[in-house]
Amino acid sequence: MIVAGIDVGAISTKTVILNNNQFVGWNILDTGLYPRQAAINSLQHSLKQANIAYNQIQHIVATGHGRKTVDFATVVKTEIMACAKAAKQILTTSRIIIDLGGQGIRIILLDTNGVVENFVTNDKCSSGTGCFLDAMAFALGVELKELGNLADKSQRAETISTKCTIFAESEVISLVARGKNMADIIAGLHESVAKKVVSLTKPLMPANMGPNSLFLAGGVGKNKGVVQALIKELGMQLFVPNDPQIITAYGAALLAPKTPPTTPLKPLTTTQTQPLQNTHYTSKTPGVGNN
Amino acid sequence: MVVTAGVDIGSTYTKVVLLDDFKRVGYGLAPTGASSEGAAQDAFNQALQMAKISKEAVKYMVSTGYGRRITTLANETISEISANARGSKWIGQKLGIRTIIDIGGQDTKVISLDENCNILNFAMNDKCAAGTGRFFELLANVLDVPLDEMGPVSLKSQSPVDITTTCLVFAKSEVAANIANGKKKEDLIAGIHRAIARRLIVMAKKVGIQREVFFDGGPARNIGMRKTFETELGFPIHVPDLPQIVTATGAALIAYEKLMQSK
Repeated sequence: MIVAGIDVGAISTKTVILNNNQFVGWNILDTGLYPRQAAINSLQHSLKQANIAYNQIQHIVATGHGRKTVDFATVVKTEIMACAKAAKQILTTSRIIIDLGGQGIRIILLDTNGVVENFVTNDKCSSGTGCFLDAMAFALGVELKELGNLADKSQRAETISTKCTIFAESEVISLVARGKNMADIIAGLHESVAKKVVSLTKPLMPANMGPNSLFLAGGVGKNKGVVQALIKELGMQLFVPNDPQIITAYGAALLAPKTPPTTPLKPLTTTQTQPLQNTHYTSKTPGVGNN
Repeated sequence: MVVTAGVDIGSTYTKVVLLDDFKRVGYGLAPTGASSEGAAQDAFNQALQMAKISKEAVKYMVSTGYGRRITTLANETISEISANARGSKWIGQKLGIRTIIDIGGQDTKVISLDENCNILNFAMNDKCAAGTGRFFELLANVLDVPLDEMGPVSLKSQSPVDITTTCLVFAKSEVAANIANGKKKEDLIAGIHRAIARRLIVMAKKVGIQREVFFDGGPARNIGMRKTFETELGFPIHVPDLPQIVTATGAALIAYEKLMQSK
């Protein structure tokens, strides 16, 4: 059975195609201004990669911030349910999932059976999200994906005193102007993200949590500087899948019903004109291993 | 003749006011930028020029605002809450003002006053850019509308668009998505004004809103912001002629009082 999971995030849209639970295609691209079109583009890219025709798909499960725009989906699930499903599938001992997205931080508590018991989100504020790091990279004039490497050389992280993304922009610019070391500023930003995330995580952590209980998902998890800062701030090991960015799309695909839908798939009609974007980097074997 | 000065070093603009006894004789404004000391000097020189007095004639100077401790110009410092309340009293006591709403470049404040314009309570947000002058500035940029035209354009709106996000970073995406979906600029701009007004009113309710309400700070020059407050509150509010220099005026008044006390 072939199923697709599409995670329409606020910043990027991810698709995973499974054939009998095996990865056969996946894709990540920018959501841009037209989430529905981004979902179509991402799905078509992944189908091409998998060498599968659209009408061979049995179910399309949409999730994420823009899930409601995916009118050709057969099933719609929240990103909390999708992410929880994937985490439990990959790491059966998962109890806490830290999902760091472009605009959203979601901390999910699972019971010992993998059922979602509680969750918290960042709600109104962009501090600590992917947007925060994106704005800082822009202010520093470096590539977002380079932040992790650039922080490597840090000897002593600078303290970033403001939490607000907008104010932190001015703060990092003034740190640069005062001749502070770039690596130390970036390491300070990673610490700031980790502090924000851990402040949301701590209240949800069960007292009796064993080892291998913490699972990291979301695109921000690709930044090794953030991962290291999180481990330090949590004082605990953290399981990081090979490609944390597509975990929720994978979970969505896993949530597809085992029975075929009652009505055939809707044709993919393009309503907005959005140029096809370059696809981002994707790893070879998502969902397995620990970095 | 006793000349005193107040300098208000804000996150975005630095303002200087000169008083000759109790009369405002000069003022100056300069972007704070990277050097608040340079901005303070610049604004001070403008004020001196306008008043046609020499630097030596200024007997006492009080600094206030976020950068108040940085300048070497001033004889002493005072919090911007005290300075704003003092300046508002000077302008607004005869109007019976009891509540001050102050929007700055990077912060927002609400001050509640008793019948003699003494401070009863205040609320301040300087942790988050939502509702501040920066909010206007960046969204004007996204909309490609000059900052000064935001207010007048907002008045053309028949049905403001709801801005549902609080964070400025998210609001930028929300506004961009709304433009892409064909929403009118004036409706978006009116929606931005309403979002700011509602946020400030929530903060004001924490300290208690009593009439008359006085609105100052740079964004108070924006006619759209004033009208939106009046619509949301359901009654008229007061905006002084030069809302940006109320706090600097308060600092200059406090300088005068300090000087008199010391004599």
